[in-house]
Amino acid sequence: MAVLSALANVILGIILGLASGFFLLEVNPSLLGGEAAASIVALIVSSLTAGLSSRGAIRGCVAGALTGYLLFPTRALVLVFLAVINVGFRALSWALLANTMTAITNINLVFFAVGGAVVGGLAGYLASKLAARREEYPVEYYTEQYYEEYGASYPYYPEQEAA
Amino acid sequence: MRLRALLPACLALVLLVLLVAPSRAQGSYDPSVFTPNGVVYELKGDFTVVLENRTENFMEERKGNITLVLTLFSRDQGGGYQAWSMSVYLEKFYYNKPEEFRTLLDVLRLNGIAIPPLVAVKEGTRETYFLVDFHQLKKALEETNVTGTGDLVALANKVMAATGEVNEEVYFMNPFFIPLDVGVGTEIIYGVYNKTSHQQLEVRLRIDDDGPVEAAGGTYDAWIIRMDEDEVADILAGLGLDEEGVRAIRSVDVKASIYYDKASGWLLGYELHSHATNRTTIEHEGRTIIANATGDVDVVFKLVEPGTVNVGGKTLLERTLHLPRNSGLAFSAGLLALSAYLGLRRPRGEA
Repeated sequence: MAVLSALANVILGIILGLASGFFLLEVNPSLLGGEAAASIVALIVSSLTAGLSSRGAIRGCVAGALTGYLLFPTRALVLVFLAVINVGFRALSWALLANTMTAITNINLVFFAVGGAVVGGLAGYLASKLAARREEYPVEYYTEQYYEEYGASYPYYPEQEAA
Repeated sequence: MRLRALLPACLALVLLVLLVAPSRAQGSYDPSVFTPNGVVYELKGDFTVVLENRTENFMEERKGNITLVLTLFSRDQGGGYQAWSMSVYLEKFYYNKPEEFRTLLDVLRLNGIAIPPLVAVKEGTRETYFLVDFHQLKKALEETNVTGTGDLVALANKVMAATGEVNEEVYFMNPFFIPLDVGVGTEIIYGVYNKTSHQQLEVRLRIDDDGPVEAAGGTYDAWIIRMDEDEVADILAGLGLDEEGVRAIRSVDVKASIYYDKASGWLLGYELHSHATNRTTIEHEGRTIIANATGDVDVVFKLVEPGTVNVGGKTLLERTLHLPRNSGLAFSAGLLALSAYLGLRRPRGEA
């Protein structure tokens, strides 16, 4: 069960990470400091997204690495897919789409995977620590209640009242 | 305290990734022009040739038209190169003397073909290299004696075996895009260069004008290169055409134009219209007669679908979703916030 849960966390992290990176890569690169800087910002944001939602250093590391590795090929494939939809589903287009998919093996993405793993791992670690702290010191919610006998309003703790 | 220690590590990582990250594009080019995917062009050609001698009551007309659809695709070749491939689809073909083309059509027996990547563009430049080892190809062609269909297949296999690696010996200037930092009067260079033998064939065309051009279902602000018969003749003379040929070109009425999108530098289209009249001798019923020949040729190569190229400064996603380009920032920030919310609020162990 724990394994399945971890796997689901990682997959969710990868999906969210790839989506956030994809949209960031669509932004005008000059807004993010140029073409190379935009790639780096997209890598950091996508692996941060993946790591945060994975929650856990190891999970974040795995999700970040996979997000970093898949970010550019996924972007290329989504755009090719959109282009093919616009062009029309001719058999020839599909033949070339298959050819384009071989591109994944040609790109040196190891550095992006390493960068993604580090950022994702850090984000996962921070997320797990912050979540643990929240569980350890839960915020007490109260409402103001007017006490007629005192003629004033004082904090009212529903949880304490229930106990 | 631990977080403070992590900060230099994070900065070092960012620097490292910046140093090793592949440069996606430099210089004054739109980065999308190096990786065209799903870019569709339509090539329309019409020609009419009329041979006429009224006194002999002779008239012969030949006319035809063709519509070809070309789709460009690209993939990362590694080493800073983007390999380009294309599909060619014959949409329409008409010729009023079909018997002369029957053999060709019988041989082809197909209306479309996918061409594997044979050229690769060096990112950040217009330099386009062949993915063909010409020495190996020449050897393969010399060794193969084509006598039947089986030999043709063997030859095709040998040709394919000679392709795949970037041949840095010969390159040409890519005609599909130009730099962004150009203006009226700028010369655009087209040419083929051999780095080993230092031989080159080069043509320089000047941007004459700018203005709106209709292409791909919209109107784009474009750089326009115009040529007439004299300019075409000068170019062909420079490329080695003999004097008689140059004179023949000058006698033809030619109007040619090339259009490039200002926002991306991408080719919007080529247009060529030519008209010629001449007198020629022909064989008619066993006699030689003089006939007036009139010819018209129109060729239009037009962008139909910009695909992943940011023509007009708009990305494919912008054109598809009709949202501003930078709205991606909001989507990305929203997803990051959602991820942080899921990571911090969700009870541990819950997916």
